[in-house]
Amino acid sequence: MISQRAKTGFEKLFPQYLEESLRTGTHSVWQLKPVKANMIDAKKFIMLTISSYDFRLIIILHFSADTASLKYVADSLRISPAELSDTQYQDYLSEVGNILCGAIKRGLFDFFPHLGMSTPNQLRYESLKFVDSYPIDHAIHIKANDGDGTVFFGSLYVSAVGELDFDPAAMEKKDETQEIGALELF
Amino acid sequence: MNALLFIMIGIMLGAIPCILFFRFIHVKRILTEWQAERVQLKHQLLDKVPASELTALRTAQETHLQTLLAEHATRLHNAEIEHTGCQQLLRTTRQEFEQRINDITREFSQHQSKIATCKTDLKKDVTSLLNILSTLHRWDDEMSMLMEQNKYMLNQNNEFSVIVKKTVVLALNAAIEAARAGEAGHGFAVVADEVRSLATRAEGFSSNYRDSLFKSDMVTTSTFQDIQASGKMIFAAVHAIDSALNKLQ
Repeated sequence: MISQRAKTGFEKLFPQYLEESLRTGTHSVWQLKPVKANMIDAKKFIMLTISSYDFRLIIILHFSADTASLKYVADSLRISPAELSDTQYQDYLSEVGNILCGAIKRGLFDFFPHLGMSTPNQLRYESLKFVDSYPIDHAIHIKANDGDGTVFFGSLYVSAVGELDFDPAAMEKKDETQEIGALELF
Repeated sequence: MNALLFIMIGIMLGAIPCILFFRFIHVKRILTEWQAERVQLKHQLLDKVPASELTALRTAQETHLQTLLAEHATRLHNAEIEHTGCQQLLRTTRQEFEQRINDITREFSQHQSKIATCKTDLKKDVTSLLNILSTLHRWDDEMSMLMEQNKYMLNQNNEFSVIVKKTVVLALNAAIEAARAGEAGHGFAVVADEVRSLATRAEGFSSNYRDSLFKSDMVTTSTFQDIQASGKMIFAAVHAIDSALNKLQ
């Protein structure tokens, strides 16, 4: 059972963390938009899990290994797309998944100090339709577009065992305090 | 707390002899002054007062002196009794306090000893629990094997699916050839139809099996990731307990 404010929190935080994990020097601006599951257009995906005593989050990064996404990864690794191997491509996107997962874990730490995250796995895309084999209480799908043809999709599936509740406003207050602290340093 | 108690007892022990000493000095001073007055009066009266009056006066003064000395002796005696009583009370109180302090000290030592034993046991358990990391690695290896096996089965099923499709085409060709052979090929046509029917059913099974393998892949992976993430969560929690224990020591 997830509270409404927790749902709102996930809906606000997930796109923010997805953008942070995709942002690079050459691809620094991303447009994020919530979409329905059937609007996701991708051929591959990387899957990670964050677990707590009371809930589980499945995080999916969808991609298509098309020219634009190959260029995005090559730019990020500062090599030409021709030099980019399949392993480098997949490793890089696995790392993006890791960063996304780590950001979510850190964001939730104040509310849920006991969290653990998995390593990323890549499965065949046909497996994805069975992601709801376990009960899913809330799902969020985001389309990330850098305006230059590079498109990734992020999905967050939340399964709660007990009551799942946190106040996203408290998180915002903390962020504001941290920003003020950072300014004071200068 | 104990130090404050000892200081108070010390002050009480010191104060009573001081009070008695000052009281004794005071009485002695009064007596000295009175004797000096008496000597002075004696000299004055010896010249003026008749001998009979002097004798009477001396007698009266000696009587008064005797009374004062008796009173002084009584008060001194009472003070001595009071002092002895106080000393006794102080001794008893001190003994009681010393006994209580000894009891508390002994209990404190026993508790400290118990806490030290508990901490040692807890540290041992926590250190042992931290080995959960090797269990996680084992699960990781085993789950990787399971996922590899799933991939292998999926590939096998793909091959099987190709064979089934070829069989369907082959059965179709066989049916065409049987039709060309006319009456002579009638029996062969029946066999070809049967083979095609079996191949079509096998294709359906293969498709279902493929879906089952995809589902198995997802279920296996999500279960594995949940176990892995939960294991890391437990490891982090045990590590936090270990750090807290280290700070206590």
